[in-house]
Amino acid sequence: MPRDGLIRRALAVAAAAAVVIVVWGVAFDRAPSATDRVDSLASRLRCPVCSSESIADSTSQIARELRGVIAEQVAGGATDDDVVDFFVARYGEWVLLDPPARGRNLLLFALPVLALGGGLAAMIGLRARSRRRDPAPATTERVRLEAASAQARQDIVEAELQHEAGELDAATRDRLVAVYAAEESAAAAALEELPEPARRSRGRALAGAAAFALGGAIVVAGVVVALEPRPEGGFATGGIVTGAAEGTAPDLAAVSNEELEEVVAANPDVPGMRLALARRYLDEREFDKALGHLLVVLEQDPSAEALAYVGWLTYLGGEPDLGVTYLERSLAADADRPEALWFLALARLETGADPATAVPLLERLLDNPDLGTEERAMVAETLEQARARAS
Amino acid sequence: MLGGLFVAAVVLGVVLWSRFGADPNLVSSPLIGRPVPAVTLPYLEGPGELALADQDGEILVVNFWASWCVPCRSEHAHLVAAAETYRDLGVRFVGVVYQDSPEAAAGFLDELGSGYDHLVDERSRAAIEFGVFGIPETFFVGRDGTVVGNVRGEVDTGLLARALDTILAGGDVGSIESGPVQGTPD
Repeated sequence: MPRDGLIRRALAVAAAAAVVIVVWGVAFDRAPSATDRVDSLASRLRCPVCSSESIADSTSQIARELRGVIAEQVAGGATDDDVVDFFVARYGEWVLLDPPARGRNLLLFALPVLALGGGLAAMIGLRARSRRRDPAPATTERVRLEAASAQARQDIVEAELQHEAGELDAATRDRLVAVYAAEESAAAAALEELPEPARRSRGRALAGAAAFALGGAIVVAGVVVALEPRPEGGFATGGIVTGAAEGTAPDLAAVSNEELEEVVAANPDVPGMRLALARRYLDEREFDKALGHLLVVLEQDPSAEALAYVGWLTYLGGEPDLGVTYLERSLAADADRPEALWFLALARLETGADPATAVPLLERLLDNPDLGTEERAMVAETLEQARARAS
Repeated sequence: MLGGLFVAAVVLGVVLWSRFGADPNLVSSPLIGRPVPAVTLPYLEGPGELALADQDGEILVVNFWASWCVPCRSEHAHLVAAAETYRDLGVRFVGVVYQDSPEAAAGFLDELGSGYDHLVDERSRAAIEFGVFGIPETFFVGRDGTVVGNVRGEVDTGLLARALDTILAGGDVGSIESGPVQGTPD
């Protein structure tokens, strides 16, 4: 058995080597030196007079002196937390380059997670939905009408694009557009007639989750894009120019704002189409453009939704009193209009009005079964703060 | 009904909310409501030193400045005038020279008049204790030795008078942003 003996000896040597390595590591694994700690602390703290640099990076005289203070404290036995607390007590949390994960700062950390969670929820929802067979009749009707309305809007866009491509003459285009516009109006009117669903259908929950995830993604992408240098001739949003390929039906989502703008201009009396364009601008934070369309929608069809958006944009645009009037009109038209409840509550909290007046609005909003989980948490937190400020 | 817009509103709402909470870039000084930092500094002109915490019942105005600071130059006459006006009401003004050589600081005072006592903060320990971001910055300390207000940026006679009248009446001034501050000589 010389071979076995050899293997056994090799194993013993390997085991001994492992022990030596571990013991060596433990024996020589010293705590970080004082200089290491000073360096690390200096890189976590913002230089007060240069603001975008850490104390470690700045070459200014005051940064050197701040570093001296850190070194003295470390030498005097202060823990890292003691040193950080010392600076926060004098300069405020501003001095921390990494915002602490608490309070409002949590949003910074939570948003990407929420976006991911929302997307996940949407996927799970989609799978569950595909297994479901027969939704309630009212829901089926609603989905059918919404699809019909969307289809009609898309048909109008297609007709316009085909006309531009020379495939349709103006007369045919006009005739088709008139038919589609009538279909759109009929579907929209029928939708208005339908009773509100008592509980949110899975499809709508899904849409909410997806929208929330999309919103989060837009915010995150916005930050990323803002950090990237803008390509020459490119848009700040990273603008992708889309064009409908010949012979393929254009998807409404692939239609650029400019194209949709032309379609709306050609069909000024379809409020649903204009509202869709306005929502798109709102998502893109093109508030001026959104407001222009929303004001037209208001004249055509002063719905609670349009009133709520116009109210909020007016409010943000520096006319808080007028904005609040619109928001109150929106709630007069529909006491449960969620956007109006939310905006008006925020406005009341922000303008120094009695915070107690925001409480019933937020409570009413919380009663809305259509609220997504994240939205609900946000509203609940705001309600809590409003109550705290009211007492 | 609820869509991406709600998200936009949430984001905007949070932005708005932060307007009446603490804006991280315009933090009010954490010193307000706390005792004046216990620093002792030598006089710029003349012997001896002054312990800021050892005021007996006087209101203290502490102004951080330097000869290289442009707004400090234009606010100086206002500080001198207010120091003169409020002296008999038990208000003491002191200047603290920030990141500047004593010679340059003395030259500044020779040119514009000193008006009140100035102190040397050689290693910026006083500035660090007060959490000075840039100069000019002025702190107000009440009769009981508690910091009751600060102004980041230039002061003028009106602002000083309003602040001091408030403090004399027993009120708090809070944090005021009056204009840009300068962090370094360049």
